[in-house]
Amino acid sequence: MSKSLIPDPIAQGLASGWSHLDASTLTQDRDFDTDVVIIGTGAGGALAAELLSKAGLRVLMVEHGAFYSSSDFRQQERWAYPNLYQDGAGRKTKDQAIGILQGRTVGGSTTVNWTTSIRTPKGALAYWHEQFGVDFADELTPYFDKACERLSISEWALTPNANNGLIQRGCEKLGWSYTIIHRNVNGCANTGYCGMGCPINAKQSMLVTTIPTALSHGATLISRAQAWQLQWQGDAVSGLLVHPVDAQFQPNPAIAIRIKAKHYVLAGGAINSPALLLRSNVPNPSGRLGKHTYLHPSVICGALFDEDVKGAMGAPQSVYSDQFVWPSDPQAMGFKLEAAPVHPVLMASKLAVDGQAHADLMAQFNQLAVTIALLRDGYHVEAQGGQVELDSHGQPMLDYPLTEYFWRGVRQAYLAMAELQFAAGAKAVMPIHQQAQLYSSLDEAKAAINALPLERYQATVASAHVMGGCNFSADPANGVVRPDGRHHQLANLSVLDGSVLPTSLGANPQLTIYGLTWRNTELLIEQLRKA
Amino acid sequence: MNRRQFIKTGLALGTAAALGVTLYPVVTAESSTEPAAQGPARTVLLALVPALLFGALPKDTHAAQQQIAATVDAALAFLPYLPQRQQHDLQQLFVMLDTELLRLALAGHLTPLADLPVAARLALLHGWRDSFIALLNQAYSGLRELLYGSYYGNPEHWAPIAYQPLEFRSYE
Repeated sequence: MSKSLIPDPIAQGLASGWSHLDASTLTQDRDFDTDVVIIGTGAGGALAAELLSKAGLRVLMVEHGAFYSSSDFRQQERWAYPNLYQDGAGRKTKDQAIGILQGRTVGGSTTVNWTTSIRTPKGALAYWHEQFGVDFADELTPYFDKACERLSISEWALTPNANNGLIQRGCEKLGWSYTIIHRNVNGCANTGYCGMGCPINAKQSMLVTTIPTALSHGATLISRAQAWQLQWQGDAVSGLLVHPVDAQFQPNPAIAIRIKAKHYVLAGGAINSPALLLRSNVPNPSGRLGKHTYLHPSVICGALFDEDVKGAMGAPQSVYSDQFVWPSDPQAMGFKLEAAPVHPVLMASKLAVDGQAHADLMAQFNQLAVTIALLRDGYHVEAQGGQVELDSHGQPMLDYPLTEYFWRGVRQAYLAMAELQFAAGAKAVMPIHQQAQLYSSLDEAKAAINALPLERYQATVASAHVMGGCNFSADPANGVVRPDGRHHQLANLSVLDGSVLPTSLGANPQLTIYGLTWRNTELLIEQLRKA
Repeated sequence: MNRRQFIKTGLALGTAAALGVTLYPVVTAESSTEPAAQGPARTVLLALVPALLFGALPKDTHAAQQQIAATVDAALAFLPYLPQRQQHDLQQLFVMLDTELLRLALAGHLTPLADLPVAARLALLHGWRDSFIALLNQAYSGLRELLYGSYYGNPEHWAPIAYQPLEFRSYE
């Protein structure tokens, strides 16, 4: 297909005169002055940019990733992962026991996520009220409505692909609950490449919605630039130091971009936002900065079917099951069941076998379905998340301990996934664990799963959701920011991203971040106008 | 890793430490994109690809060599995207595996990896996988993810798995 047949709103916008600087082209220092600087262009930062620029404020966006668009995207993982993901999709926890998929491109993770849009679960809202003194139970609803309208979020109307269909079929057979997923798409062609950047701009990511609006309202975007440090004095931030990055997104400290703003918005996502504040040595009287970082650590179970599954094709996620996410037993770790798209690099690198066995499984690539269980962290004394630290280069590392409580949840998750897959007609299932094999009956799988040694490195554990590290709380002793996102100690600093969440969600986070950011940005605009 | 290997590894790691070699020194290391740093990495990866991808590589020797070389090229091209910390760790691992005494520490023998039978190379990796030493577990996981990803990222290797993605324009 010719390049010209697919309209590219980014290319058109740039041609119309949008203000964009690719910082990797800089050969000398630069200074900027603006009303509001926003660090990060994902679900929080970009939505804030749209609202603030429409309110007439001068907005400057800073993004570590590149300004790629549909003209650049390739439906190839070997291009997408290094160019669109944090650390080339190779981000790991400090002990390398958990792989973390997180976007690093203009639009952030929204450019590469799988479009699943879920309102904040009631269980999370109730817990926040009880533990953090923040009652969002009804308050966020109108903002979810606005976000759904803005981003064309609606229930997926097409038949789920076979990889998701198995969840629906298995749940129906077992009497488990399931939900058809709401997706932020408009004109989706059901191709299945959401994770590599939508090739037809159907996904209503920040890249093709709020960022174009902000730029059309006069905002400036600096891409390929890593926000390095906030300068502050007393109770106010006085400047932001930014460094350009090179072609592999490594910072170049020899060149400085200095930004002065009336207000600073931090929206680099959990892990990156706390890291910037740690580098800046900001006040941290609660001691919670960088701590309680949550991942929805997820485990995987593969299933072989006689018929083709072709898990690479079609909407990556269209059905989930919350049968186990909010268990009545307070000692049980809840988990959400979803599908994951089956592309070769993702699959080959996660399968826990080698050599001929690996080749044999890959040869059945199109018959392989993949179910994931996302464990809900943050609600138990043994699930207090991880801690962001800085390495000797000043870059973040997440130290995330895996506890007995977590491993008990993993065993239950493996058992549930195997039962679901067999109920859906799988001929064999295989938890992705170094000592697991293909099991051809549920009884065999149950016996094997109950005997599996569950410890780090043995089980493949992955995450696509980062949350926390700058949690909100009504009480400054219990959080980094206020419920409206304003920093408890630095008056002209807001945090508007997933790092403000005080727990994980038990749900994919993008819609929660949209709703919360919309509310808090409206409040910020009011406050800035009064000031 | 059996008890004998474990003891040998411990002894050799101790020797390495006594010589002032650490697995993860905090230094400003060269980028792995620089040719000088690629030597050990290339040597080690060229030896490990045939073990991990045994069964996937074509039977024809020439074709297999081409795929191995392409996979190692892709892996080396990917490394600079990792955080500098991880690049340093991997670089240290490659140097150790390419240096006789240090190879004794990690592999339990003095034979160059490329001179070992393919099955022995895979056994070496599985020794790391099953080791009590977390650094070896990490080395195993990191190398296999890197190499499987590099192999299956290449469209020329997709025919056996019948993966046929849509292309919306010409990519190369």
